[in-house]
Amino acid sequence: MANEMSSEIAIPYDSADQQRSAATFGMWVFLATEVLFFGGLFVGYVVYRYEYPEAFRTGSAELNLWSGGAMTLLLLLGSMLVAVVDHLIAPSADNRSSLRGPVVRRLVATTVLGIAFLALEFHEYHQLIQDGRFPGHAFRLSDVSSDPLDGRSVEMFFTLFFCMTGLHAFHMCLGILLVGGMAVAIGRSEQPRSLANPMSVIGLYWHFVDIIWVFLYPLFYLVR
Amino acid sequence: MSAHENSPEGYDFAHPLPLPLLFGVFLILVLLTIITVAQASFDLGSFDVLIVMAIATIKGLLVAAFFMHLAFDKPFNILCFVSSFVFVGLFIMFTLFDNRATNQDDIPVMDDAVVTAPAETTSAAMTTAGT
Repeated sequence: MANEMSSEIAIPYDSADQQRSAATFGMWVFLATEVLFFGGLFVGYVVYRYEYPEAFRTGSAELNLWSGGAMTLLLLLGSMLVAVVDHLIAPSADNRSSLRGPVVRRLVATTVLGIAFLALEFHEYHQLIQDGRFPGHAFRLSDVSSDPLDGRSVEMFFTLFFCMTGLHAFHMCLGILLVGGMAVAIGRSEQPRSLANPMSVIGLYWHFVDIIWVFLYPLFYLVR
Repeated sequence: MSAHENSPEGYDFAHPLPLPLLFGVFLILVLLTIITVAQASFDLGSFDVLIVMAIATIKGLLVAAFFMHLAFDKPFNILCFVSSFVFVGLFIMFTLFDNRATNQDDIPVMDDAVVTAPAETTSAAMTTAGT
């Protein structure tokens, strides 16, 4: 195992451990910046919810609770599959049998789950836009509230909803491309374990996107 | 095999976690999701937000600790990731302080007399000023 790993060490590094440590640390720093990136939107959410709690309840009632729950389960299942892949492909794993098939199957399943998540999300967007809940000129508030001020506050709820879930969906698209690309790369590789580092780093990104949704779901769907 | 025996620094974050542990964490996450959805049917008043956010935090911690191996990672990586949440928390806290301090409902209106002045008083004042 040591010989197999030593042939994959890139030039600036002294050991496979050091190389993996650098890759993982870089990803953690990136994820920390992502937390701060989403953090601004979360601050906006907290301030407007503090100002207009009733409007947020009204807006939340327009969302499909069960669809959001199903989306959460899809993401959690995808995360579990990626964690299993990380288990199978790790250099120190005991399993020495062919791992290409099991790993590729799980990565493809994760990609499909991600696409199913986006399909549900875009279906919900479609329904909301048809019902006039998209912020802007087309936003209809007559059937939401008779008070114009409350109506604008509900519009703010949907502005935050489309911005935050839209930004999350963008991250999901990147995650699907990365996981799908990794499935192709591992499928073509003679030594799948040589891709353990990129797989581990992409796995961290996928789990992070999962964590963001874990917070978005109650904030938007469960304000009742 | 110990989880920390391979790395010279003592933190073997490449060590694969046992599959039963991963499945167990997944089942707990599913259970917490079901509880979150179910509690939406009950009106718990202002405790609603606290309960769902507490459950979401537990779920996030489980994903980070086991799926992302953060529980077995280097302390510096943990510090790096957790500190970003701390800064977001500070950002939210000080914004709310500021929001509360500048909220119109909480500020005593000093020029109330001008706003509620009778119409004739106001028009007399405007005539005196030559407008």
